[in-house]
Amino acid sequence: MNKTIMMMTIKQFWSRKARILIAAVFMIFPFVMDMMMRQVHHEKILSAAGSAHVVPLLVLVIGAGIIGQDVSDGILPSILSRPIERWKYVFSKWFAISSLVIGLAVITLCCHVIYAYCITSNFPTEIAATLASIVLLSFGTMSVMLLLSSLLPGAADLGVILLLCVASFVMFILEEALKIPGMSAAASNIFAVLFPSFDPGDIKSLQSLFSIEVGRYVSVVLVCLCGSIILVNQKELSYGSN
Amino acid sequence: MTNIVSSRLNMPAAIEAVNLTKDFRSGRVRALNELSLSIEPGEIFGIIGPNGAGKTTFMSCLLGLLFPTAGSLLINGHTPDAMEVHGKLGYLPERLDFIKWMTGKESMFFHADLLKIPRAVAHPEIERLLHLVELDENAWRRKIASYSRGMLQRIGLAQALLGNPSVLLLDEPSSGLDPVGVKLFRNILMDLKKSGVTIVINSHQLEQLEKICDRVAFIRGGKVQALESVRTPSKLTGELVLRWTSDKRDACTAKLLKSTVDSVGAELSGFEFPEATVRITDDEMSTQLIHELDLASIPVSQAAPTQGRLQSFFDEVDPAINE
Repeated sequence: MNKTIMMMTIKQFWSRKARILIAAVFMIFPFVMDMMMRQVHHEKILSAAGSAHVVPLLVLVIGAGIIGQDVSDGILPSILSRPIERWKYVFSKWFAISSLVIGLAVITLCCHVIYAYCITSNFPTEIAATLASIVLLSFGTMSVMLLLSSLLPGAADLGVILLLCVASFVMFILEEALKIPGMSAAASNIFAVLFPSFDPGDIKSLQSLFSIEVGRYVSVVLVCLCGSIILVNQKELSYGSN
Repeated sequence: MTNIVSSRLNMPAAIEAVNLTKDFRSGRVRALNELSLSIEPGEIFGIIGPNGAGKTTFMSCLLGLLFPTAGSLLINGHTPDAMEVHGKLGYLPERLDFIKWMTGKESMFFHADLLKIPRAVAHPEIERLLHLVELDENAWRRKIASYSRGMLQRIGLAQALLGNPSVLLLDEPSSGLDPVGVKLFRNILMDLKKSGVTIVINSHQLEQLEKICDRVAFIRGGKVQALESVRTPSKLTGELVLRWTSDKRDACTAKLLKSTVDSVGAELSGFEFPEATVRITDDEMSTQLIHELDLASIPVSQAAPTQGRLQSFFDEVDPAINE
């Protein structure tokens, strides 16, 4: 891990005002959910799980173009001409954005807990599980984003993910409306790969670590990380005009 | 030249390319075609050639950004992707794509951190380099996005000099600089040469290259077509146009002119009164020739160089330019 690249990646996000604004809007999401739950269901005890739902959105906003943007902006040659191994650059970028997303999601979770306590006088449920989900989702989704960004220029990775999300929704609708079998299952699998995670509540013993969900999460994350490193290692750059 | 030869016997070349080949698009485009050259430690080496000749591809290979298809490329005995090379290599790109949201000083610290220079050492070093390239102090804390081309060039050279590089790769270093800046850069490079830094310059500004380079390679079609030793005054590659007033018509005979020109080692390449073209090596020879013509009672009314030595060299090896 390279501390300089990590700090640069985090500062890079803070220099992009539009992204900060969108991330801030997404961070309000759990509170809006709580207000709706209170209005519609008059619930006395709220769930903290909503805070984990902002993670994929934050990853999409903060992590878009994590490598592709550096390539398009032409700053990658100057970074890689310095004594830094390419795998360290990739890994540092992934870890930096994942950590930033976790940090922002934890802030959201804390505010969420305080807010829920203020309006219901009860602490929300599933705080620990939500915290674990935030960590799993951040590292998982970011690894998928990293792979796509290593392949595509600029922020095209975001476009591909949004396209796949739209395709998945269409598949859900197709099964619901036209009763085409298998569509929902396929869409769920696409979502499971795009936003890899598993329910930390299911890990009750050492044996449960060998479940399909955990296996899928670990394999998606590993394949994406290794794939990104291989792609960046093989990437040919030229600092001149093409 | 003797120094170069003797140094060559004792130490390896700073940069050694042997049959370096680089293909793009699955071999459909050959950017470098068995390029071979050797650059000595402490040498200022210029690379010239038409657009698309393979100059930038060669520089990118030196930086380890492009991987050669065939052949070998060594920098101080290591392959370009070795971390030992990256730690001792500075480069100034043609496209000055810096991290625009950083201030000038932040950018310098960023590169110093990548080079693992301790903060205590980096701080005075960065200030020294920013003063050296004469970047206005007010600009140090300004975002790079607001920099002019000349300022970018200055901060680019400053960051290239971080960490005392032993090899410096510069692509169009004086582009966008005012004449004062060009002279400053030239002086900096001459000082670096004295401290043993090997400098490779890719430039179209032949006049500038002529002033600082020891040798120049002309690249075309991904190959070194010719090598010119700028510091060796052996070739008559400069041209001087001489003119006389009409009253010298009778005195200025072809025979007298030729003998005078020959006496200083120059070469008469054309004569039709009132104008003659003479091939020379350098300014010193021009001065001597004008003096000799004075002594021969055929003083010139006008003497003007048509083009620099490198320009002549360029024209000589690439006649297509003149067509």
